[in-house]
Amino acid sequence: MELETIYSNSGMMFSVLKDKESEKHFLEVVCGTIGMYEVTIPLTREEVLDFKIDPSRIHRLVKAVIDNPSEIKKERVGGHA
Amino acid sequence: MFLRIEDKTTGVLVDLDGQGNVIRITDPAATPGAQSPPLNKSNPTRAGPDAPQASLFKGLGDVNSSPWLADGRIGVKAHIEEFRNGGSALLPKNSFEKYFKQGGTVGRSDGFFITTRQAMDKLLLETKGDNALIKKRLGIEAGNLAWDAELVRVDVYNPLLHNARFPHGMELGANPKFRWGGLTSGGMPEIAIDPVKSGDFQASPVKRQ
Repeated sequence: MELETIYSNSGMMFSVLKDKESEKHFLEVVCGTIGMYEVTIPLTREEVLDFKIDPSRIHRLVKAVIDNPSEIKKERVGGHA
Repeated sequence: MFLRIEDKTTGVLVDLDGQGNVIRITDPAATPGAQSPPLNKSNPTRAGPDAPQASLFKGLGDVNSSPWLADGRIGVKAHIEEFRNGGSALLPKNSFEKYFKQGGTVGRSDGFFITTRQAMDKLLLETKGDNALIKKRLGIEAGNLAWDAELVRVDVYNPLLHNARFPHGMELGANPKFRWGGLTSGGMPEIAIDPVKSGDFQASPVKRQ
């Protein structure tokens, strides 16, 4: 898997990544408090389409990942983090 | 057992014994005769890799930069004052480099969580760089592989210049175990500040076992 960053937001510390081979998209979010860590989850086709229309539409999902990183990861088996 | 921690920015070396005691700090910027004598836990004032740069931690900040210092509730001001001499956080080197390069700041816009420098020193000393123990103390899942990559320790020089405040549990990432009182679920003191820009902090690699 060769991931490239196609969008990045330093304020909320998240990025949208794309696998060059499969063209699957992933959301990488910096979570945690004193000890920060990255969580990466795959995006659905609908989420990618929404993001391409308006990148800010992904903020709701970013907040959900930051608030519940473990649960989101469990829901979306296949995240590479 | 012997552990040496090197601050690559300053070249400062910190030697620890098998019990986590600081044995010696070697600062190449100091004159040869001024190097640290052997240290121990009874002499904590120089214990920590950032100690030689103490001049950058000036204890700046007042109610104008951190209005919470004027909060009349018992314990609030005292808690925030604990951070006057610096605050620390850990994050993956990859994240640090990516977002600092892009935005010129460190920390999320909704709140950059830090503990005191002393608490971070204590954490790293007591765990002796053991990655599994650090994860456990910080409440990070053992299976979180992202945390196993290179880490950076960020030390904020003057947190009270950056809107130091109690976390209120509504920030993003404040977990379900949040409790009012300025302590993490692991008992480490914490506050939230605004993101900090270059020149307001130092970053150094964290060596782990």
